[in-house]
Amino acid sequence: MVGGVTCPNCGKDNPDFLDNCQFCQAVLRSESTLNTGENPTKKVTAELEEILPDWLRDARQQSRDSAEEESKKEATKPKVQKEEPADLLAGLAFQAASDEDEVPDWLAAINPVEKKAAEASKPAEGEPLDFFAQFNQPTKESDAPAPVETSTSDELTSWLPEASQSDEPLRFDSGTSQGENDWMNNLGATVSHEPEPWAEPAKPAEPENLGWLHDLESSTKQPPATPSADMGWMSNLDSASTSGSQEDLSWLNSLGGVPASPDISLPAQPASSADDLSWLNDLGGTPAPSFDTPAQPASSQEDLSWLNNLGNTPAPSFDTPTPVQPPSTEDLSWLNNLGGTPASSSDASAQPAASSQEDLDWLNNLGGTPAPSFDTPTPVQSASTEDLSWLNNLGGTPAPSFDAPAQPAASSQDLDWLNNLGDTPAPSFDAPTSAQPASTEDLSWLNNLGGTSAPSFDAPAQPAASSQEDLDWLNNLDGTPAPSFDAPAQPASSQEDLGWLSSLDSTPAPSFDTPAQPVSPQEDLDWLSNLGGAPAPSFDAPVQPAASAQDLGWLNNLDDTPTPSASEPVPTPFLHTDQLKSPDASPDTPVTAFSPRHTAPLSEEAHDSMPDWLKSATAASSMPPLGATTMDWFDSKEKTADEDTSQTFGQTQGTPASAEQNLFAASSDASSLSNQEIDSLLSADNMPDWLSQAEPTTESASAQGGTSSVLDDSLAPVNLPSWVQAMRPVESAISSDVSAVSMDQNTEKEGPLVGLRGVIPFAPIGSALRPKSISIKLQATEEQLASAALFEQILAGETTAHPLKSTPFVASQRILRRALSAIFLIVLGTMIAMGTTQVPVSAALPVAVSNASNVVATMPDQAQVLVVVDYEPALSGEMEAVAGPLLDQMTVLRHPTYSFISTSPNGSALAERLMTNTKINRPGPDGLGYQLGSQYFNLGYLPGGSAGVRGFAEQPKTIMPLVNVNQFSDYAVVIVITDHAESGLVWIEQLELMKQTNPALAGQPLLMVASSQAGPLLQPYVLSKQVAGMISGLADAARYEFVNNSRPGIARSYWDAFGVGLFMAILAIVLGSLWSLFTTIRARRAEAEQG
Amino acid sequence: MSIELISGAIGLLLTLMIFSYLIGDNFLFRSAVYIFIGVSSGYAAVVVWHSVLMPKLFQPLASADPNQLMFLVIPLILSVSLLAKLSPRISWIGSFAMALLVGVGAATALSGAVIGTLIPQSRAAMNAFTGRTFFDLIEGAVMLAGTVLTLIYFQFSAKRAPDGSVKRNVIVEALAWGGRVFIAITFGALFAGVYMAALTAMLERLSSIIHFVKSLLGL
Repeated sequence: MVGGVTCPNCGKDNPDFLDNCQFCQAVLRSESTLNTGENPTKKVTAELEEILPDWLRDARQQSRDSAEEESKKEATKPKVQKEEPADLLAGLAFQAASDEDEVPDWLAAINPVEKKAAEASKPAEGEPLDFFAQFNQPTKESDAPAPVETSTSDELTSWLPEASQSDEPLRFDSGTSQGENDWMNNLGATVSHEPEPWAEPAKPAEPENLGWLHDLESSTKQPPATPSADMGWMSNLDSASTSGSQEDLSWLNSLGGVPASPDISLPAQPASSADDLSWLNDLGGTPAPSFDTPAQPASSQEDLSWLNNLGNTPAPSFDTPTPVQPPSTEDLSWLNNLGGTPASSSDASAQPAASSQEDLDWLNNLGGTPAPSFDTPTPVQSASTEDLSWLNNLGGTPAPSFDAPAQPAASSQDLDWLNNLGDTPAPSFDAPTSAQPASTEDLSWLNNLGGTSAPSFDAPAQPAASSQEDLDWLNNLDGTPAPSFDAPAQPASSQEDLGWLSSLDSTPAPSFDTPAQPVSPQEDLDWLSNLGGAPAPSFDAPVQPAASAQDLGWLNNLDDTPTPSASEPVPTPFLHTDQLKSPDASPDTPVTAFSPRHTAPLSEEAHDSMPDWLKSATAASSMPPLGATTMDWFDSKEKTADEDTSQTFGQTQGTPASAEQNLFAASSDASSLSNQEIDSLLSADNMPDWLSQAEPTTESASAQGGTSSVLDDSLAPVNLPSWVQAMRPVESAISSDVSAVSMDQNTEKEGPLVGLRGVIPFAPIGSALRPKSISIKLQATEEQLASAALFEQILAGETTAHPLKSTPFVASQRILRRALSAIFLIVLGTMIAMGTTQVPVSAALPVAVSNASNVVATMPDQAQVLVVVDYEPALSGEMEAVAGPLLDQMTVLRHPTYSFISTSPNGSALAERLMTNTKINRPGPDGLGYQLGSQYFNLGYLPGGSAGVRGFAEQPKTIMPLVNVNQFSDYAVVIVITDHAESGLVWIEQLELMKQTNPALAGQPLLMVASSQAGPLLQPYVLSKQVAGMISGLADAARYEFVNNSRPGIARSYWDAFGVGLFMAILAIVLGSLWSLFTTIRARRAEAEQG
Repeated sequence: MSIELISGAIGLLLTLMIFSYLIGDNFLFRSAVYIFIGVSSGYAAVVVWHSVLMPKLFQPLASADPNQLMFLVIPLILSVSLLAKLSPRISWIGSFAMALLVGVGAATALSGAVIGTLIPQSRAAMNAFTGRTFFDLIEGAVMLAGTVLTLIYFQFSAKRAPDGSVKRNVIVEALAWGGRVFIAITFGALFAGVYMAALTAMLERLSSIIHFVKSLLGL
């Protein structure tokens, strides 16, 4: 048969997917590994600690610290009352896959104790038995098969000797997982081959012989004043992925990869007693034996003598004195040294009987994860404490001397079987099964079991009202099969039922029975949810007879997991046990996580013996059918649980009530449950009392539990290496009160940061953390906008082309222009044509004209006169009229020789015209008869402008070869005839220069004959004496002509017309100005009228 | 027909053509303008050829006098280089000749302006109060006031007011107003002179036409 596994017990072949033999129910393989088919490998997580990032190490350290703090805090919190809503049925979905109805055999072993406990806890007799009480009934009927018992006993007997042989003390830090696995492997090697004697106490219906614990109790008695189940040590039991049924302890099969682990039943605590099961904190990831801590009445005696046969090493001496003191204390702190340290005698102080406390802190180190606090000091309780500290030296060390805590008067827990644990010195098991009403079981010795498999404990129920057994540590049994707790209801006189040991043959994993509390005890079994990847002990939480509230939150993970068979306790992962230490933790709160193992189908008998509610729950199971899958299912559960550690088990384990609601949430998601089944499960009638209770702290945690269960189904399974699981924070740190965790802290759900909250800050979309949008619109005031608009208008005005304002054409202007032109032509033409001389000419000559006349009068005769003709032909008529009288008088009087020169090319022609029109060159009698070339010379054009003038003034002969003088000073008079002031200025300036350099020119008079338009501009030169005389315009010419006897008469011929023309011009200007004034006044009036 | 009659007739025709502008711009007016421009330019070219180029350049070159030849080549080259101004590509060739003309002409004008205008006119203005009579003092005062106020009018230096506007000093503004009065009177005198010159020219034309008509008619 390919892939088949041969049963080491019966030798028959089994399918490879089975974990237990289908014939003898023996464990076929260990399941400490995560994946099917993989062998467990040693992982030294301590080495990985160094390479972890600082923040992660800090987070881990903080988680450890917080776990310790919370465990302390919770120890001071009030216990949860029973009225809280219970969602524990949610975890029953796991059991749906199980077709067994049979109460496991370990329950059968518990039953007698429970009965005794029930009898002993008579103070709550009138109250109905709680949920687990139902299981106890069939438990009695279903006897565990003998082979199982022997197998279990073999494991322990072989494991403990090996543990004792190893000299190396087991370490309980995070890096000691190897050691933990080692001894578990050794356990597995010796499975089911040797019957061990300590299985004998597992006989059902028989009280356990806990006499060996009497001595322990004597030293561990504590005052029972404030009983509280110290099970906070279970808070660190990581990888609580499953929840197991209460009666299912088959998870113990895979504890640490070894098939068996001792099943220690702790006696139930009497009233007001508290079981300290915090030692289970570190059970995660490592195999741990299960301890049944059956309830012990005050007068019960647990026979743990079977421990004497464990291993070949000297077993620790279990002195289990059963002190008569009612407030006995079970000191289990000796278990602290269980993990390989030399055994030391743990002195468990006796606790007062009123509030006994079971110190189970020693279980903290049982898991693969480092225990947050190994030496969790058991709070001094007034109640008695069961001193189990002898278990401290359980691993590989010489057997310690155990001081058995004081046992209740009537109880006697026989833990002598521990004397035979392996080759190594058996750990000191103070398994006080104090049945004292106020006793406290000190199981802190289990703290040092970190390197070894943690046994499963049946946390004894606290009989007193204030006593609680916090078994929430089972919640941390993540990734590993969750132990099942049976919390049998035990009255004040509880008994430790160690009959479960009888089933160790077939189901090596022992189970813990947590006796029920007689008076409202609450067993917090949430620690089961934190049970890590290693098998964890199963706890049997006995039914609370009175108003006890058992924490069955571990049932959350019953979904999709096979229900362990009655005869085969399914190994369950350990959960953190902070709740166990917490005073407010409900002792009857079950664990939330449970990982049952695959088992073979149950027989018909077992099915018949299954309770009704389990039958209904198993009608439709999401658990893969047996034979189809093997350990893969557990792997997936472990992975999903790892991913949601903080949200699921870690958070829910903080309070037992949360674990209860997780169960409901899981059931809601479980497809395996039909509606009818759910109804039946949720019905108040069928619901046990502990389920109907609501704990005050479950509101917020219930939601978390529901979410966790949903996530368990939705998230895809992921294989996580064990070292990653070891890196996960301590569960108690994450499992802090959910309500206290701010919503802005995100919990990582994937990757190695699974379970860490607030590591990576997240900013929700749309929150205030997002950068605010900044408007790019310009923020401007109205004034600025107005200025900008004005500026734009200015720019637009500059760029746009404006149409030129064209003066409207006025027809009257053309008419006026034509009319005026006509008038002037007609009037002036008429005047000229008529040749009238009516207008008188003044005889007074202006100074300039008079000076010119004086120059002519004073000039020598026949002198050389230079006549500069610099005027245009257009004004020739005026210039001839103006120059005519001067030239005529000069010619007549002095007969000078004229040299005509011109700076204009037309000057020579004009000079000739001038001579002609003035009648100088005309022959007489009207003309003077001057001849060209003899009496006057036309020098022609003088080029060069001012330079030409300068050159001609300097060297006239050189410039004008035709000149008739040698030097410029030879000219007696220089007459400049010009119509432009500029041409006259050239001559004036250049001659002035010549006068500065040539003194001969100083006496040379310069006469100016200028047009009317040039006269005013040349007038200053006349006043400055630069010009000797000047005749300007027709008016001066007419006067000069009048003085010159009216010769040549040109000026006078124009004088009347000129006078009329001036008058007409003045009249036109005046009339035009008046018209313009009139039109302006009219326009303003029109504007004024229009407003 | 005598030459005087023909010239008179042409003169009459061209005068009428110019007068046709009184009724608007017309072909006769433009034709007369083109004729005058052409005749003037032709006449100027002939004058320059006969009065400048021929007697002062070509005739000396033709004389073959080596001593004069060197002094004629340089003006000849400079004159020819000025022809290069007709083509933009080789206009740079005539730049030297043009620079020589401008430089010499500017130097001569400036020296003549300073010596012949600024100094004499300034001195004349200062001597305005040398008159012996009261009217001479008033004339001198008016001349001084007219000169100073006119010069102040062309003083445009000003400051920016608080409201952003640029204004001259109040005193300067008042003096400038007085200078503006003198300038207006001067421009009025100039306008009157122009008008009288034009009027005189028109009268000469009218007289010429009338005389030509009378001569034609034998009147």
